[in-house]
Amino acid sequence: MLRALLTLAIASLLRPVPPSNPPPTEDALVRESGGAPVEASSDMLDVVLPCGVRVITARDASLPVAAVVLAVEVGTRDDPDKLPGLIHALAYHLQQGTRELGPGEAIATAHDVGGLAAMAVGAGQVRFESLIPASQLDAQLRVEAQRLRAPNVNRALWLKSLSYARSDDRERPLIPRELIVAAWRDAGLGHDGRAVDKALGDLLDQSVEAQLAKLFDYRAATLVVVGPEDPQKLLDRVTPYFADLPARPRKTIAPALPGGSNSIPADGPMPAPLAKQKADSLVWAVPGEPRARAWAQVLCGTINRQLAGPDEPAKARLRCTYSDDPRRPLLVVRALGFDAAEGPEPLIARRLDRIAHAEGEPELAALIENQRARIFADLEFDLRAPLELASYLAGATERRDASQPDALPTRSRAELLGLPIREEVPGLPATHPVPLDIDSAEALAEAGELARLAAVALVEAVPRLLDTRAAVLPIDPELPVPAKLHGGAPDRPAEANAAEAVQP
Amino acid sequence: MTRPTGPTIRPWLVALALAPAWLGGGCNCKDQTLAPIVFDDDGQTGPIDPSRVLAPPWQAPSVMQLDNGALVHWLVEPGDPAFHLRVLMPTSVHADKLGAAGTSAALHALELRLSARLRRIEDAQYDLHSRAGRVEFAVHGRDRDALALISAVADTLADAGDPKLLALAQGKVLAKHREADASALAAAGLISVLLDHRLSHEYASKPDLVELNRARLERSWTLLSDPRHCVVVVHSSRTAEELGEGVELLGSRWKAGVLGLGSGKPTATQRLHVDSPKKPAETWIFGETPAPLHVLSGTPDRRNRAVIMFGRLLPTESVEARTLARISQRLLQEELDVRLIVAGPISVLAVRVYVPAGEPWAEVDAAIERMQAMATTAQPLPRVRQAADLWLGARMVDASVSGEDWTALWSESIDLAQEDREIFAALAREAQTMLELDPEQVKAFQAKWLDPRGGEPGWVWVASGLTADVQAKLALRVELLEL
Repeated sequence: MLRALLTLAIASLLRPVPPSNPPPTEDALVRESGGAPVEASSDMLDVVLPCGVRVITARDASLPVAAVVLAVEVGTRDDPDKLPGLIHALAYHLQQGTRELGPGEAIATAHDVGGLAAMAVGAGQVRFESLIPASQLDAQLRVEAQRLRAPNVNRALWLKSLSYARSDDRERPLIPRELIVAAWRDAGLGHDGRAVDKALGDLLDQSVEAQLAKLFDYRAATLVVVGPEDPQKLLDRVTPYFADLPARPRKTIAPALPGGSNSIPADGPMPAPLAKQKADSLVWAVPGEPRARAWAQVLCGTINRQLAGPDEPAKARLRCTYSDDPRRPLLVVRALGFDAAEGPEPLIARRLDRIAHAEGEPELAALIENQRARIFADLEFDLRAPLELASYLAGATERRDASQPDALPTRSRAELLGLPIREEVPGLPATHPVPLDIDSAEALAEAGELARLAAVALVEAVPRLLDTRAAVLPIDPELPVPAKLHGGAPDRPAEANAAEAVQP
Repeated sequence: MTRPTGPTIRPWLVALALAPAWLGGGCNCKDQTLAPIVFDDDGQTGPIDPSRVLAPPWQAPSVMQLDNGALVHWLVEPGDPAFHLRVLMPTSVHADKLGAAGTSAALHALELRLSARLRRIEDAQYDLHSRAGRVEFAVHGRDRDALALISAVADTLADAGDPKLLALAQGKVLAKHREADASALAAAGLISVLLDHRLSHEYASKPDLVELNRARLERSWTLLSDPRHCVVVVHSSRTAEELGEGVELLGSRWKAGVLGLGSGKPTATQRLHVDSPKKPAETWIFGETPAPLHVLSGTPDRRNRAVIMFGRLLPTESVEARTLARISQRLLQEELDVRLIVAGPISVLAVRVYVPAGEPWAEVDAAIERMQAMATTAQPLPRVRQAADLWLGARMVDASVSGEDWTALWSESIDLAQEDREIFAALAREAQTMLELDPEQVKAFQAKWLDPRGGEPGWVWVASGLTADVQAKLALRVELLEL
């Protein structure tokens, strides 16, 4: 009797849990495309498998190679206070094999067939990247499907991982860490995550095992596969490798927003006391998702080329710099020739206000459209090879309905990559990469409409970046804080803040 | 204007064209037509699955000859945002007149002028490669800038032969010149002995660079950049017709110099393949007719070791021979420092060993013994297969990382083809053949061609960086010959 009960209990444990994230069906693909087969070249698949791992597949048939990127939504900002460098060291440890993979096998799988294997450890994301001949895709998929399962843990391997981590180059950010911390309101960004100190060496095997299980979980991971086959076929190759993992809901990935929220402080911009800073710049945290990253670059290009307003000091200039990162990008606007008594904010705010209302300033709107087209073309050019594309896709925003059974798996390339697009107008797609040639009054009117739509799209995509209250002002503690902070910020209707608050 | 491929060649037009060509220093051959090239396609090679055989999924290119005599192979990949243009310039056509020093100065002049022009084009890049019997440079950029990129290349090929620029380039090359180490010198020496060229054709010494006068500089430029010997390969999302203006520029601005006549050889493989030497070596390393050891000066390496490089030419006229040569080199490479340069019908194989002062023959003997051992034992199939996977995979992965430039792969395909029609399928055929090799075939090939003491003759060797003491020890066993 006892034996029968035990058998039942074990059977119930082993019985597959009803999938909360069912795999996409071909029917869903056909539905999405209105009955026709999915257009592989422009569409990508973005699904969550029953085990909670997110899979993105895309086609690139230029050469018979495939890029496979496993991105885990954990980064050096998640290092415990007493264990700086933990995530970096654990990422190295995930090259040391598992129950199914020998130490170093993950790398050897790519190298033995002429491929590349690399690892990227960032503030908010760890990526395991490989580029392999397309004929060897299955072997690499097996590696990524095993990498996070039951990693080998013992003292010798851990010390070896620490030795690899120690030999990594230290990062030298262009923007001081204190400033990054202030802009993102995140103390976890105050270190580069490359330290390997005694505390890490003293970790017991059980602790390493527990940290790996806690931090590196398929339910917080995205597997991106870019290869010569169409996305559905690629997905069909991925799915079996994860089929034996128990069905579990995907973890909720918090959007990369400053302080975890999209709200704008009423009393901003906040001063950030920092030695040797001249109080001439404002720094924004850019939401860590592709669309905001792309439009932030459009904005930056626009600021750098924007003409001075009529009421500005003669030598007033703005210089914008964009510092990219999949999850923690920054935008820095430095002012020159401003009124020292006022500080830089009024000048910057006036310029941003004009951009926010560029619909009424045709030349400025045309500049925005020009920059949009430029960034669009830049991204298309930069992401033309599979590895670059796969790495970028690993930062793609998750769909809010991803875990719903009816969620459609196809997403357009432009949407998933966050390409800067505006509304379509008849005859001209939203993805049109170059500004129009203006050779008639009709073309002029059309160009004006496109420019207006681009300006509208910019405001809609990155409203925070047009508001100086969302920025921080780096200032030397010895210097007086300018009295007139956010004096020139545009008036914002209350509903605008409310609308932002619900955006991912 | 360009000439499309057509069915006939009219010899009388060639004769008519000679006089103005000689006078004008260019090739006026608008009315000539090239013999059409029917590239081997799927029908002849069987269905090619790019994912399995690891070859690009390209379509046969359009082939044309420009007014100046240059051959153009134009590859189209719809939707590709990048543009690549590669100019392949043979150095073996005038091997007796074109030295390495003149080639270096001419290429540096080209780089100076072209880099200045490319700086004005967004994301434009330039790179230079050396292959067997030719040098090639490539420009890469955005497809939307294709016209500007073609124009930059055409203008540079038109004006980089300016005497002042060549003199400036000569000075810069001279200023950067460092005496080559023993390995580089031995490699140059080995190739010059194998191909029966002067050493100065393969290696630019400081005295060679100093001695370049204006006339020799100009002659080097003229010979090197003569469009009648060059091949241009383009990879674009647009066809040659769509970029007709650029093609026109390339044909009209880039002109041949006053040296030479005619419109050049009609096919890319004929233009670019290295000719076999008239008197191939009939010797072995030791063995029945031992090759003399050619000795070059040169400095020992950082660990004070001299270098001996031995090698041979391999006949690689068929895809099987090329594949066997490559897989044999890859297998030997796992244990020895072995290089292989495939150049169509012939390939150069070179083995480098160091010469310890105490026992100068130790490493040479060990390398030869290892090669003989491999030639008498069939390798396990998984080992052969892994070597093939690694070679074929790395080629495609490298091409992807390097910007998905099909012109580089097309250039490699030219080396893997016997005739132009084979270029299109050469990579796929090599891959397919390599993946189907039998270890016994490899063993038989190695026994015939890669046994320096037995097998076929044709082995030569060169030493560099030897001290007097080591030379004396070596002379006890073989004849030494100053190169």
